[in-house]
Amino acid sequence: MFLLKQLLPGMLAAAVISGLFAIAGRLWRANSWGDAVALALGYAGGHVVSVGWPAFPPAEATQWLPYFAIGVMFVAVLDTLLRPSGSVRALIWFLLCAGILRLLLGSKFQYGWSPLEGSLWIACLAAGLLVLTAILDRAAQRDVSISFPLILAIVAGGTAVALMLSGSMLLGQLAFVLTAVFGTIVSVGFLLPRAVPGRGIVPVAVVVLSGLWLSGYFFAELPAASALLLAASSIPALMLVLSDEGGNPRRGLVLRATVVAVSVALAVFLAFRASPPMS
Amino acid sequence: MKPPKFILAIILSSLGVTVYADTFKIDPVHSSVIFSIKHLGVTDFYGRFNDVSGTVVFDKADPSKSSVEVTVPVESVDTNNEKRDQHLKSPDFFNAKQFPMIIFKSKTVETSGDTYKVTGELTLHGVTKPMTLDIKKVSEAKGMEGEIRGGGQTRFTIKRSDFGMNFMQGALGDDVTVFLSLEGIKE
Repeated sequence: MFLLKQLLPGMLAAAVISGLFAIAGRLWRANSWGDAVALALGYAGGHVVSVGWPAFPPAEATQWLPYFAIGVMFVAVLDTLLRPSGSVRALIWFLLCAGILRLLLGSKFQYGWSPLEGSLWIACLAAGLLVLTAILDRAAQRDVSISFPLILAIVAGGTAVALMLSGSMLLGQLAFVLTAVFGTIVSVGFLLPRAVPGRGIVPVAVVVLSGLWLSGYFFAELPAASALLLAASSIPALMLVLSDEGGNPRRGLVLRATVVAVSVALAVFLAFRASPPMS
Repeated sequence: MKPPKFILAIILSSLGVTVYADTFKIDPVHSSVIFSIKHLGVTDFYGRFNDVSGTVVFDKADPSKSSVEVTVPVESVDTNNEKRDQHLKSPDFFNAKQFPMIIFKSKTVETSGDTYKVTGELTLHGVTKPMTLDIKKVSEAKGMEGEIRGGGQTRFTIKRSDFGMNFMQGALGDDVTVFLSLEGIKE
């Protein structure tokens, strides 16, 4: 009951805000970036309702997440409108990810890493985010159904449970806020199907999800294997999106959801195994 | 021929050098940092930190020249439950990996009988706030190996929300009472 009281306000706020923007995006035919706005503002709203308005500059890593979501939202909107070339996009995204990671993991530079070690971590992680974004982006361009946000909703839900098992209810709560946003976008997409896929959602999704995985790994006790599995869990399902064009849409949706659910369940199980007993 | 001690003291005093200050290194084995917080409004729940370090410079002749510096590693929190300790160290509460130390540094020390009013700054969860502690000096004695040991203790209450620790307000109280008992070995 306490957990529900803790979770519900933020999730409801996130669902209402993202629902309004997702519907408005469809009505205004802002197909390519409407969901990015819904995702970023829905998450930021849910975050603020859950844990309060973060100070600026934030003192804690998790307090950066709503700022990252909104900042990347503008980048995503510009990206879909300006459509820069592939290599320019990749370079900008890599640098942006490196900057975001430097802010998110700032305390590791203070208490753990040497400048060289930290720079290597940031470069490797930014490269990882670049690869993940490229894969999601390709799938988002092909997938006109609700399966793309559904896959991300399953990943976010699994992230929430894994983070709670790893000792942080707060991080889990924020991941549930994100789940509520993806769930709402799925529902809106089901009621108001769109003709053009919304690739703008990808950068915001990658930044917020990876912010939660990295916070869980570096600042809570999320096992590395769980974090990696969660990060990779959407990839097989999205590969199916790429290879399943023209197939039975309903069967394809169930198959993708099942594939992602299996790897997410494994990530949750690993977090559960690493967690100390309750009593 | 050596100069008499009091002449040396006068010379050093005139140069601004503290003559009578004793430096005590905090002994973590015989010091305690205990905290209590209300759980569900029902009763006070107690926990402790198993590690503490720092130094106390104690000037008998001029207590205003005394100083206190205490450091408590957050990782040493112990509530007799591994799962709860993990939760306390997480970003929900102390956020031990981002803010690994709790530090108190004195700025001024005043005396009133055997109680020392120590004003300084407490840094907890990345937030630094001014704070005044009433530290009662207990006594000094010789230890097992002939070393001089001194001790003092204090109790104070902070609001965790003042230090940005807002998670689970209601289920856990906002007021945290800290019992600090320090024993130091004279250097």
